[in-house]
Amino acid sequence: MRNTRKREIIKFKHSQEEMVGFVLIIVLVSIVALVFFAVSIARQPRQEYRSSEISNFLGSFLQYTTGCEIRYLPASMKDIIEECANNKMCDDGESACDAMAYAAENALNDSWHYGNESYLRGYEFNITLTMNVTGAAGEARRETIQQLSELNRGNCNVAVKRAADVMLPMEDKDIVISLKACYAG
Amino acid sequence: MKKTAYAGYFKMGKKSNIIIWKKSQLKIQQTAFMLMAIFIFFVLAGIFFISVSMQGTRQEVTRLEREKAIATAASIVDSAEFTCGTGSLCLDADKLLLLSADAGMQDFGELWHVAAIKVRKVSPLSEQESAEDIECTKMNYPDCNIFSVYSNEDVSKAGAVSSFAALCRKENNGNYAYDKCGIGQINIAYRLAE
Repeated sequence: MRNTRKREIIKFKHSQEEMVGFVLIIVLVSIVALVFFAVSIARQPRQEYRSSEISNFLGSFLQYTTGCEIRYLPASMKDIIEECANNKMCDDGESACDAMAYAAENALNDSWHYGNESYLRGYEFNITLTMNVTGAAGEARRETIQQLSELNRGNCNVAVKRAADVMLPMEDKDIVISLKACYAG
Repeated sequence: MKKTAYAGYFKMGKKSNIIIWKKSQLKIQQTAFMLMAIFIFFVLAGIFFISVSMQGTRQEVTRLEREKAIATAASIVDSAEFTCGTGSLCLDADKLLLLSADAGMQDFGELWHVAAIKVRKVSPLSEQESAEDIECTKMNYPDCNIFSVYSNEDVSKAGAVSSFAALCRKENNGNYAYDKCGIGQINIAYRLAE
């Protein structure tokens, strides 16, 4: 009688051990899977792509005719950006930088419709005057001298950004025009 | 008589033999089920992982197809029939007006293998143009914003691509003629296999 009970207890303990082992295996596998997924998700950077759509937009943007007249002819966006970098005026006395900012805002507002319901959530537009400088260690790097225009609209804290930039070379400096369109992922 | 290892086993009753045999079967079944469960778990985890990684690949394919389509649209913009000649990605609005009005442009389908070509003025827009689309004709040009260059009504299934391009026309400023440019968008519908 006593022997039978002892055997039953031993059997019961064996079953318990098997169950604990099985649970341990499941828990271990789950932890490994979780760590694996966490690492793979953390590795995914916010993606930024070079976009030919934006590149094409910037190409046509530079040809956009503005309301600023220079030497009796309406200036293109490219012309007034260069005039702005040289602190010049339009024929009517308006600052080229003001005319540029006004025309750029109009062109961007008409072309890029953003919003929370839209796939496009916002954009970042910059025109900067840059210069190549040589560092103390002899390395060449591009340094921003002046921000000619900055337009940040909507929400750019999103997963996918498409971007492009165009460079307008001047004598000793360069003008860099960049646009980042921010899309919902 | 030589004793075998099974002697004791066979000495037991037939009933107890069957019980032991059944218990062993049960154990084998348990192990088999366990192995199957683990196998199914890993298969499901694998399928989940593959579908997640394939999602990224699919997005990348879509993005590259879109880039290719935009490049195709840009190459059409730079063709002699459309370009204003002052630079790359420049549409001549005066040419577009003539192309839209010309019935001979129905040959375009043969030339470009496209279903439709439409150009939309994006900026600057007048108040009226912002409120509604105005199709360009010789009567209302340049106070309009849509050029329907070509359309093939026989095509039932089509995909679409678009690209930004400067939209320019000749303007007279007293003694001077100059190119007045805005931003346009060329939309091209291409035939899809039915």
